Amino acid sequence: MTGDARQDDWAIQVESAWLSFRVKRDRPTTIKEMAVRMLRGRGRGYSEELFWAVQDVSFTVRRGERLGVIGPNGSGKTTLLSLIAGIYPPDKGHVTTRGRTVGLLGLGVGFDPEMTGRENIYLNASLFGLTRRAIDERIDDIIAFADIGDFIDAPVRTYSTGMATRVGFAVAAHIDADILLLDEILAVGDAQFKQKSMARTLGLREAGKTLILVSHELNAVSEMCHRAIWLEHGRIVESGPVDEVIEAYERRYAPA
Amino acid sequence: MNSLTSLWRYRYALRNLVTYDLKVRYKKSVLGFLWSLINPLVLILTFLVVFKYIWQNPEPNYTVKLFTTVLAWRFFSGAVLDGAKSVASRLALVKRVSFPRVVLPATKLISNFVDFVLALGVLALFFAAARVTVNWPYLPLAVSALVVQIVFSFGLMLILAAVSVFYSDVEFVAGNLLQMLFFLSPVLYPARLITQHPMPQLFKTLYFLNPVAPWMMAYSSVLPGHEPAVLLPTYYTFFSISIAVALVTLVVGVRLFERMEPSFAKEG
Repeated sequence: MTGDARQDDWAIQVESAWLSFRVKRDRPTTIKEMAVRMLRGRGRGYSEELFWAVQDVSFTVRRGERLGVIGPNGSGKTTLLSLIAGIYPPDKGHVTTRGRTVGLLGLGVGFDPEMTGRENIYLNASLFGLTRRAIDERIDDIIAFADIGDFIDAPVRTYSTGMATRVGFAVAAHIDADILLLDEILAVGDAQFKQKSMARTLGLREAGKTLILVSHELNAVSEMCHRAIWLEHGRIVESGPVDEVIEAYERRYAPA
Repeated sequence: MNSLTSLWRYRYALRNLVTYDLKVRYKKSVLGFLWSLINPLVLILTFLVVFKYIWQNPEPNYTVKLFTTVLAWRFFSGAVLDGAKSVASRLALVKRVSFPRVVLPATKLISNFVDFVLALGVLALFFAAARVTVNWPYLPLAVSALVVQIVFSFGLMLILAAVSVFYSDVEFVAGNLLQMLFFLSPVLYPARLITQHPMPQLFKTLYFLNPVAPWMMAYSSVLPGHEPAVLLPTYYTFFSISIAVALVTLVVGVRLFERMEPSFAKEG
């Protein structure tokens, strides 16, 4: 569905996107195994099933708009976000984004456990495409925002999940992304950090930033987003104004 | 060939990754760097004892030749094996951040190169102290061979890095093949032993088709008494073949890597 008549104002466009994962029932996972099979004359044949994690999903997000994605576990929310973040291309359909896209996908954002928080900030930000000068300018703000004290110079393996998430969010929030993709980041932080990150995320609106928020916390989604889509088995069940979608979702899962 | 240009765009990320790689390798200290030299040193000393004293190899300059070729070999096998696991060991990052994946094997190539250059520096000190005469006219040949080695290594690293995302024992298989190649290349012994050996010509041809052989001869050629063209009249033919092999390997590596790259994040 197209959310807006002004076709030119979009930041994210997803057009009947499909994405599958291979469910390897007995695909050989080592060269040794492959060689043994060949010797037994079974060739390289193996059965492979496709699991369609995202099926025929279409939507448009306007610039500056905040979209919530809700749905039960395994409904394809994170996969959809990964598609938009460009982690993998869709098998069918198109996913197009305009501007720098930063995704906070899952916990820890791929930090290296042996490196310190500060080193990980530099590495992570540079992988998002920032130059050294840009990171130097932001490093103090990022560290202040993460607010984990002396731990910033300790290896990330010594961090709690909450601390790693704080640092991850701090990096993502300071990167000047045009599009921010947040996956369940509200679920781990303490109340104070949650407040702070919500405020920061909402503050991005003024700068014309686009946001997609994946969360099980319906209150947060309703508070932060304009629109929502409800995913189920990789398909959009409903999309529209955030409160309508949440209402329908709650009716389905918590019949009053 | 897009991935090669994206390396330039992501040069700062590359620099960060290389820095951390070296920090981990040297445990953040100069002592750590010297410590990392102990392994090749022990290896070289063992070879010296076995081949120079027990087997009584009469070759002049055998000690310095061993240092030169073993360090070059260490750069080759280190880069290839590190490269093989470069993507597979970073899947957590690959699944979360979208960046050109070629940065990962490139990191391993560069950090192994830096390591090699540092070790070469130590070797140069040793050369100076031992007053080894250097055959300067052959230096350009040795440097060209190093470029060919780097091109070949990177191509091989890209192939192995991509395949090892899907098959977990690639590094193990590659390690075994490298060990074979080590003994089938003039690293421990001079190429003369092959050229003067009464084996059929076919075997000799096969031997020198191994792209590693011409590089090792080129490196040895900066030491007196190792002129490759004297040892092997068709040396420059084989050197050219190794250039061609390196280029083909790089093209195949880049193509294969780019083709398999989209599904890396779906694995594991």
